[in-house]
Amino acid sequence: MTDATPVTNATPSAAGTPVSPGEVTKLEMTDVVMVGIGAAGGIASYVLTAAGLKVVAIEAGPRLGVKEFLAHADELQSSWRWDGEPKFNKEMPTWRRSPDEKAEVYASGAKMSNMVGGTSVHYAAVSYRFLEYDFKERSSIIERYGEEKLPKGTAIADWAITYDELEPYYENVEKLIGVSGKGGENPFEAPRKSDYPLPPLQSFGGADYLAETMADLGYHPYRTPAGIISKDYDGRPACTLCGYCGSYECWNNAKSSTLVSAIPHAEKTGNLEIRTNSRVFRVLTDDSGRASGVEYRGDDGQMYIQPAKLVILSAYTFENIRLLLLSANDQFPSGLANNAGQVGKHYISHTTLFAFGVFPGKNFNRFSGSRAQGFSMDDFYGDNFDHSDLDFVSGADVQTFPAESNPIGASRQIAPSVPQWGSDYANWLHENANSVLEVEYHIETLPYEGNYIDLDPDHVDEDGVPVIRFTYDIGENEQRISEYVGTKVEELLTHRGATETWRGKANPSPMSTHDVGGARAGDDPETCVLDKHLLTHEIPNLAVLGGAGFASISGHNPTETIEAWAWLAAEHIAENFDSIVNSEA
Amino acid sequence: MAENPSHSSNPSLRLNRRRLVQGAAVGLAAALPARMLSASDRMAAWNLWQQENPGAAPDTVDEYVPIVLSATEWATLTAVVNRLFPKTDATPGGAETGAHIFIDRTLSTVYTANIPDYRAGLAAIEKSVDGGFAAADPDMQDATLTELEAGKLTGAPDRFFGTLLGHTRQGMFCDPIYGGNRQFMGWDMIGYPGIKLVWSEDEQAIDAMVKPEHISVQKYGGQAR
Repeated sequence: MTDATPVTNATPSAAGTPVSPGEVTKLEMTDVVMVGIGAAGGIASYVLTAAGLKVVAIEAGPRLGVKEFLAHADELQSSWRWDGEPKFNKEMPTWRRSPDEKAEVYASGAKMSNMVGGTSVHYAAVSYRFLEYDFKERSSIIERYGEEKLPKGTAIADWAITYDELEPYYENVEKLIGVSGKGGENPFEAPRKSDYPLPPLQSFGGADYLAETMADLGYHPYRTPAGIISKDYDGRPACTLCGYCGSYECWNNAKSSTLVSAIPHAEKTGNLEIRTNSRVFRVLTDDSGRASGVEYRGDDGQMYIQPAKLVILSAYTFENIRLLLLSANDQFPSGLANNAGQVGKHYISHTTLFAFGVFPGKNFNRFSGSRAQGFSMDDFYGDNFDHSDLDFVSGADVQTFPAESNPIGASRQIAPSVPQWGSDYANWLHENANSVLEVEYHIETLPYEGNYIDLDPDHVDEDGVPVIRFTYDIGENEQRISEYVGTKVEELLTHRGATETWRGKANPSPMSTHDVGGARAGDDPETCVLDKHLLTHEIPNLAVLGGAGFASISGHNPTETIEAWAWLAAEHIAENFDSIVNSEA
Repeated sequence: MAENPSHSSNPSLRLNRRRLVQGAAVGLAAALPARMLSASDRMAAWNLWQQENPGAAPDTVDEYVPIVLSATEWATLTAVVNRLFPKTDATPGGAETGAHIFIDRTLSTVYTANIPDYRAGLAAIEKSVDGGFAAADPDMQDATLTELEAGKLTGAPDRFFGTLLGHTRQGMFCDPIYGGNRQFMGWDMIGYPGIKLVWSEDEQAIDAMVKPEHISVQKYGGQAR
């Protein structure tokens, strides 16, 4: 920053960029400026810097390491308060179910992490590929059942890319970060050219117990692939199954976050500079309608402009949308890449449900291990079961989730026949807290025309910047999936010997940590914000990485797909850099 | 003052307890009763006590000096947590586990926004019984809490029961650095052995017995917030 040139303040955006009159320091031009370096940005930084491009990553959060992470093995702080994320907590979005309602601040309990490595630092590390169905959900349904089977109001669409196009990048990601699993166990999995680089995580008794019953019932259990290394890998030690994993940061670097995998490799090239604790307020454009850099507040509290030949938004799904909208200017009055009014549309979030069964007398040591340590089955996923006589489309994945309970959480997982407090409650907990098994299932929530994200006209954060507003509800289709799959999962638990089972209700859950859509990728610039390389149709040197480009959510956890697509996009950018940055807007 | 015989015999803890009050009273008349200390002095005293006492909770609950709650509110809350988690043959009571200590302490830090609800809610609970909730017999107390749970207790804020129960559960089962789960009573109650960084496949087998290790995150640098 020593060669920085002070310039006069740029014009504040109409959306309320909190730039007070004063100096904004314009820094030296770089090839790529990246906003946020988490799962998507971390992978892209690896690809771009390896190709020789100079990358500046501007990250809202700090850079932490194992010393801090071990001190966070604290359920109260990490699971219930999540007070380690000041940026996210202070910019909490709002939610309403329909445009007729006034949105209210929505503290969902979801945990988006602002730090180098982003949410990949504390994700549960379930690291699936999507199924082929996910990339062509709409056409698959129409082909098999006819167009009339599509639920009313759904904005379901096929993806901009196919599974085959993404397959090599899944493989790249799995090898770079270290994913543990066993290919070929799942008869429904999409074809893979090579097996996982690491064998599955060690066996967990409670998960094996449920998998036996899955097989007895004719289902097809397979070891859940984990973004956690089962053996020493790339200089990192194998996982020790400590029980502080999802919602927590890994204290021995066994979880394959980009913080410990992609990013250190990118830094070794000398081409990556990360600026932490720095907040980007908007993307700037030049007279030709191209992105020219970003404006941000550095960790010294001063405002800077970082000029760049190409701008990548790689913050969280809805923070990317927010920045597109906040960057409105005279040329782009509705926000960047939004001339067709599509930014924020087609937002989707997983409705994630849990079913429980209690097995009195069994001790599962459920306070240990990882959520990713166990079995999944895709028998009720996508079109893996016949929907001809069912009144819904798609389904849900099913994952055993008996591990990594924490004590406060366990105290809330009570059979419906048991009171919530008093001596019967206390005695039940004493007898059964370690005898409960849990199964998780992600509903393949459809996109709907009425679901979108925009800027809240009534709520701003402490910098005076509008927060994100979700207008979001789920439909009958999701309720029916939930009822159907939930019933099957309870039957599974009962068949295994649970004396009592129970499960959650399907509620709309925006901000679920599995948030996708909002800048759908596709070939048509009138209906899609991004192209298949995640560059915006409107501004050729502006990319949006992350889940925003997804056209459907799938039943599986999205991170590995986000990472694979970020790799594909970054490779395209690197290989075509000169033509992209010189192309006409 | 009811003493816990198994712990009052520890001379170093007793000494630290005296130092707590003395340390906090620096600048004040030496013999001021603890309850007359300002909230910030009591907070400072608590922090000093914690630094000097790994394991974090006072050796007896009766020695705790509330930071936020008044004497009356404290008595009510003590009785409440003992009904939410009554002491049984197999399970510890809410107060001996320090659930109320957790709540009072946390109201002074992260849950300050809940203070008005606690004041109103505890007052409504206290006056729900002739002669006061804290002094009532357990059946009467349970009747009040049932009413509160149903949202029908006059004067209690909406959803206060949920807050109270949620915080009491946190106090029972949190890491002991927060003042609850004293002597790992909550973790022992549900079979959580404490932080254990390495689990072998044998230890993760069904019905494998794992000895409680009573490791708090304090061992690894964790601090209460």
